[in-house]
Amino acid sequence: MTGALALLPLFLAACAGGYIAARPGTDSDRPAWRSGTGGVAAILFVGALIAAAEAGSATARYIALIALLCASAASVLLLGVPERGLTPDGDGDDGVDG
Amino acid sequence: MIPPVGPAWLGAQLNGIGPSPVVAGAYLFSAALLLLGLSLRSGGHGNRWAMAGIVTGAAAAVYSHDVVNLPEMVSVVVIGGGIGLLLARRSAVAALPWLMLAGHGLLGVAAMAMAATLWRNPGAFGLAADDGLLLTLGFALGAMTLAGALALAVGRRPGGLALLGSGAGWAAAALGFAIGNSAMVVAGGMAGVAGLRLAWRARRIASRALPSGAGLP
Repeated sequence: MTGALALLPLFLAACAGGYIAARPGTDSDRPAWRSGTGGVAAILFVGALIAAAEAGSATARYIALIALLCASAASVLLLGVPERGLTPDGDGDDGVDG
Repeated sequence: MIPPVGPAWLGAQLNGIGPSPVVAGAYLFSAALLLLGLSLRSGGHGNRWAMAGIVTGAAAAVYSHDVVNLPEMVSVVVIGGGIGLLLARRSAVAALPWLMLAGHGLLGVAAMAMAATLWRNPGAFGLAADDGLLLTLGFALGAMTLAGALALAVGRRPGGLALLGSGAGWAAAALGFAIGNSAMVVAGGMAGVAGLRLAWRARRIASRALPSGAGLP
């Protein structure tokens, strides 16, 4: 827990950065599903990599590989889908509100 | 009591061993790229910066650990990434929001599985008894993200993808606190707060401009 407390200043600074990054007016023409928060949350892929690399027992290793499989698929989806070119009339919100 | 500031708070610390300056710098660089990606999302290329941040963080993670099962890990990443790439490139435009829902749900599953891995093998990650709270929090947030994605998918209640991204971000931050990984803590905090703010703003706009019941197609 001491390590966690040591990371607290960095965490608070990151929270402030996220608050500023989500300021109004920067994405008024983009649908919510292209906002990019999911892509940043895909950092879980790094955690899954660490878990899979350090897992000791066989059970822990298999669970870590499941985490890595899900995280890799999710990372590609969350980072790749918003980059898809859209048709001019399909560039609006497809109904998913944010 | 404020803990001493040292290299441990700049990167992963496992078994009481702090990271090298290169690894700590790579984690911070990864976090900076993710912040850039989140800030430039309106420019159309924000996700590419975020991709670079994820790749940098992954490279630092692999470099800084003694990977004993690299073939299995590479195979799993190729399979998962291939499935995601296939879906992202071949799906119809109308299905893209649903793919984002699926991605957030998979992130929730990944957070739950990662928390379970840390729980099963605390010695390898230098976890103390009081880190169980962080693992429980990460598991619960992953489960909530998955449940939210499922609830959105079946259309039982309106909600927001930004809120799901926020949940996955908080889960990443909690698990990052547990293993002492600065990139996960920074990116998770950014995604958590940004998602909450975007969801709050969308809710206010929807309450002013949209009729009630607006939600998924």
